[in-house]
Amino acid sequence: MAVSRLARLAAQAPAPVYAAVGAGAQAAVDGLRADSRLRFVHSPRHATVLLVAGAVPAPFMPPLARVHDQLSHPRTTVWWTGEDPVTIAGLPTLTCLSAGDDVVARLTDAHRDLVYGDRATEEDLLPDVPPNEWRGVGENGQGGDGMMGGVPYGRPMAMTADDRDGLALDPLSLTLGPFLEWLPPGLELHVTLQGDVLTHVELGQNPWLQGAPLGAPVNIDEPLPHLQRTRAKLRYVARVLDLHGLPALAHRTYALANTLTPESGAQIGRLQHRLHRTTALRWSTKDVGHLSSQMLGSPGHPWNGDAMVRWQRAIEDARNLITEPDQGPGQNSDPSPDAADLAVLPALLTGMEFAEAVTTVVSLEVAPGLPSRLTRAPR
Amino acid sequence: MLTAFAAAFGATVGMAVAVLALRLYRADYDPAMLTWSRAVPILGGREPDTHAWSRYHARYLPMTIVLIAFEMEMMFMYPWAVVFVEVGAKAFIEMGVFLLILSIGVLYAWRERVFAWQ
Amino acid sequence: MTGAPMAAMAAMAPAFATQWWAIVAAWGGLAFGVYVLAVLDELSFGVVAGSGLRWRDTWRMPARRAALALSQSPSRTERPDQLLWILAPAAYAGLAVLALSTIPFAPGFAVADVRTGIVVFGAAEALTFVAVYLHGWSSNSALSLVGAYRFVAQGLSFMLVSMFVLIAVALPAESLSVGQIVESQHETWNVIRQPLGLPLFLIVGLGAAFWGPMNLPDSPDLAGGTAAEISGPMYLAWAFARRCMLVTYAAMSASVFLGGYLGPVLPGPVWLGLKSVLVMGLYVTIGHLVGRFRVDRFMTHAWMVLLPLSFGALILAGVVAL
Repeated sequence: MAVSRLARLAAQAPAPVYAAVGAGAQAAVDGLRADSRLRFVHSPRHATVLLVAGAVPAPFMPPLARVHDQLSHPRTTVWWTGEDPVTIAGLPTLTCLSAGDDVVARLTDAHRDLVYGDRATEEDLLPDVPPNEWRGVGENGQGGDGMMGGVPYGRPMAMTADDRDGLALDPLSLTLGPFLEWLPPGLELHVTLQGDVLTHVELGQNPWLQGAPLGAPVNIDEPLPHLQRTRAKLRYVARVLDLHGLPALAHRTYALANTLTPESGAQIGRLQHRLHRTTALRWSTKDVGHLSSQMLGSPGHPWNGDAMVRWQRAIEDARNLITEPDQGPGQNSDPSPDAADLAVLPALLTGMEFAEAVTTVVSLEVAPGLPSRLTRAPR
Repeated sequence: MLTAFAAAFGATVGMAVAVLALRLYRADYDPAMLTWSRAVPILGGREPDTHAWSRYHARYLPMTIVLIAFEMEMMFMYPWAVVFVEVGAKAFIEMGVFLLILSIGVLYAWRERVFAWQ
Repeated sequence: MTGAPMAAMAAMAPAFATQWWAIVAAWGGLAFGVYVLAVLDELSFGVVAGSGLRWRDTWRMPARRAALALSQSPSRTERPDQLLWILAPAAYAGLAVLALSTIPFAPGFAVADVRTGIVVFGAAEALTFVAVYLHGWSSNSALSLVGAYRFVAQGLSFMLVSMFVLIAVALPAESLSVGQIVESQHETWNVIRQPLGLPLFLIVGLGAAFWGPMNLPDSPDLAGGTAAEISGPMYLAWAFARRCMLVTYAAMSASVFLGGYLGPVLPGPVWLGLKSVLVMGLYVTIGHLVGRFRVDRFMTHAWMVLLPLSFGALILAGVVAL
């Protein structure tokens, strides 16, 4: 089949992947981010391949289907789990990967097949119906009485609420869903935005904490397990960098985390030195998301301080961990925070500007890369 | 002068038309694929409750009003810049005083927390 | 048609001939500049990320990524303002060309080197707020809307800085025309006699094209911001328009601070091109080494630090010019 020039060029570009991260898979996906054959995009609409990593419990299947439908054509899904492939009705071209598969190669193959037309694009999973039925009523087609009622084009307009100084402005209520890159896997935030300030924040249900069955976590290829905690800390710092407009430095840190050896202390030191000199990152994270011991319940909690202190501490810990001898898997040493600690978030995020809120959430290291932790019952 | 503006206008419109053509390339890519399901705004998986168009609280509104005052000052500075070297020190002193008065305005605005994110 | 208008148009025809060549040069230069910018971006990413300079891939990568964008499908949202959504990237690119048209490529060779070139440039800069805001607003998506309002905040904050800096370079030239400003740099470039000007104008350029540290409207924490809802050729048009604006600012910086087309051996346009590439290199390096600013902190900083600095630059320029 004569492949057009355009398709051949497009196939050689890095495969745009949107990562929907499930239980126990954050570390595995972070291991892929340093590969230059892939490009992890921020919005599903820019992706051709949806990478679903880890197990997704039943309550999160509808949002996953929504994210899948938001990808632009041609598209396909690659599901990376630690167990037998999952069959999903409506996705005949689903690729299922298990431990030991060369994930990057499979992703790039999927991308190439789509672009060349060898693989058909996937149909929608959710029905093609408007969100609400709407029959225009008013003279401009608006539904209901006047401007305030009804569901024009399927959704209501935002209702007015008093803001302050006698201003009557509109709050937007939305759910920042489970599959955004700056939220920990499975966390949903029900927020009310006035302008870009969060005036009301509620945490969504996180079924992974209530002991829902998860299946086996994704088997990360761990050649040196005793460097796992260092690796997790570095990946956390890389995530902070990525979401603060430093993708190149984030790439470097992810690559460092992948190629970690006991002799990498000098490289981590150089990275730390470089980050201590960045002014913009420190300016953006200083005095943001301050958590005190009272709020957290224990003085030695890893989340103590503001966002800047947290990421600086993380890279300091990474450098120390690599030099001192292995102290065991970490479950019995310093208490790693887990998702139950996220209950401080609503009080913390209320009143914050959006970017500040993102900085805060990203700076909270949750269940750092130890997949088994998520199967533990909450405290 | 007329030819210059006409040429600038022509160049602008030409580029705009070219980018428009790019934007509309393959706009007829299988309309059946522009489904309602795909049309939901990006929020990480859930649907929004309302349309996004709303009376948005632009937190920097007082700053825009201070900006307009400065814009009017800019209007005076454009011709001032052209005759500055001719007129000499007198123009320098005059504009210095003007800038000083406006700086006091900026300081006052800062004290009144105009530049804070309300 | 009567005789007099025909005669008038015939009289203007030779002038139009030069303008046609200048227009073609502007478009071509812009398109080539966008390609060079994309290559520089890839190179600087490779250097900062430690993945090395993969020369063979780098100069082919912009074409590959553009082809990828073209092979994806366009998208829609539930109730967009379709007309404005379509026009926004075209308007933004058109404004980049409008700003570029005030810049001369060689002595006397410009699309529109009018006596009030700086004013036209400032007008184009101001209208970018409309283009970017509409791009974020018209998709009727909450995160895009937040991005649109952020751009207006950042833009208004550095608008004045930009104007003060440009007025400062206009002082020694005694003219608002960019050609005259370039000519006034025969002895010394403005970057030397007005040291504060170029750093401030670099920030302005990054802000107007929302690149690197100023990428607030399209930022990752908004899932792509104003670009979250666009895909395929729509995305390519927007990415192209953004890079056009950055190239225009690079050319302007090169003209008013680095002497534009002035230079010893090579022809004028080549010098302008080399200097613009230098400024573009600075832009991409800053983009990869400096993190994204926060809009509320940046706004305060722009008004309380950058604006007084631009006052200082203006006063310094005034003293030097006298």
